[in-house]
Amino acid sequence: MNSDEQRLSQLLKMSVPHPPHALSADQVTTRQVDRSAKSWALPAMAAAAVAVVGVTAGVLASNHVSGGRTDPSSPGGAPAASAVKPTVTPSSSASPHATPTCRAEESVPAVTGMTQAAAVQVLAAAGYTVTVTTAASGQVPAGTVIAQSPAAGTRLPPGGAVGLRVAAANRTNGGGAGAPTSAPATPASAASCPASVSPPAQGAKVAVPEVVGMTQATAMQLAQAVGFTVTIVTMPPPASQPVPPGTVYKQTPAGGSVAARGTQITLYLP
Amino acid sequence: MPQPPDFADFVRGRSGPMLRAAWLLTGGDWALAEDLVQTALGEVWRRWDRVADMAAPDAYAHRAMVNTCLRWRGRRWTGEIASAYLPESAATGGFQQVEMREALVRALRELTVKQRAVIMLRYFEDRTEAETADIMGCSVGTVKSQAAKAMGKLRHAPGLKDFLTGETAA
Repeated sequence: MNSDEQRLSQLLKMSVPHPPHALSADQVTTRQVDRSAKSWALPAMAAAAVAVVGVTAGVLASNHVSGGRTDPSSPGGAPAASAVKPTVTPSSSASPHATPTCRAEESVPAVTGMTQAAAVQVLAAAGYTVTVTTAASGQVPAGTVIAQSPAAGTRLPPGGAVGLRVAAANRTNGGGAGAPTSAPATPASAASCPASVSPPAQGAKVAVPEVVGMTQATAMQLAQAVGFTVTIVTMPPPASQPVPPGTVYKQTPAGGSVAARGTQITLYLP
Repeated sequence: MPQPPDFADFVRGRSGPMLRAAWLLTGGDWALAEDLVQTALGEVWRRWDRVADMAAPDAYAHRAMVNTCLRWRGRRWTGEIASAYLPESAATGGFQQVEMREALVRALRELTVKQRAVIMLRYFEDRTEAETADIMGCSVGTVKSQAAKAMGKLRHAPGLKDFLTGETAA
């Protein structure tokens, strides 16, 4: 090493700060779970995304699903987004509200303000890969998405990477900061389409998202994003069906069925 | 999902040094650095059964981190968010150190990711040219040329020039 290099080495060792906080194994493994969660969330989310895109698409999609079309690349045989969200063929008999010009899968949905889980699911359904970064934030509850990149509405082909910055647990505020579930449910419907597109009318038919197995907050966000009103029923599950606390174990109407927008969807939690 | 027992220990021990290295790789962006380390450790975790038996699991993790960073080169958001969230200024150290650090961050952002990786491996972690080439998956010649280019840029960076050319005492 010459003297320049030695001085650079000295400068680096002196200047690189110590990390503001350490990582724990949980953060790493939770991310992995988040990623794998996409595969089971896809069918429900795809249905939801389609419903946002347009009523006709929703009806067609549920037909596709019931027709047993599955994506060979998904190991669980789950219907992948590509199988469900295709060809918005405007069929005049189904609905006059189809909006084939707004294709949610091409522009990045707005997920700022959602919980991390909900945002990841919304983005996964739109076909994007998600990278989560945590950052300290004093103003919002931990687990809330505080920034996204690219910005909402940016055109990005499916498969593109979307970065999320999620509020970390508040360290300065004596702990007990809000859990992810305490974030207000933010309807995502407005996010996925430009404002110029009028939403499907109240009472139009929409595919019901499958939310069994999700947390209450996520399920509510999903259902509300599609246009349902949500009722929560707390009731012990059948003894044969052990359910983790806070998880939806049953829903009516069932996921995949078609119901009118504005219909009440009932979620059962233990 | 079952988690092999020592992975938590591994993360506890290695995340600090990896974060500091990632801070250099990302041009002083803690959020991006954490993202990078989390991603690299995620790779390690997925292959932990095999990695845990390796002679140097930390080298594997390090390689995963550098490669991830090099892969991220083209990502649109690497520079985009960084400007909205300025790096926290250090709470410790004298003014001189703080100014030096800010000058370093500005200078690092003028470098390419590859140049930052060479700088980090060669001069922060004191690895040899051969080790650096091995981790980055390139030739020793590339390491030399990238190091020289980076050095050339840093030598003329405002705020670092005096220090690196030895005109002021450290």
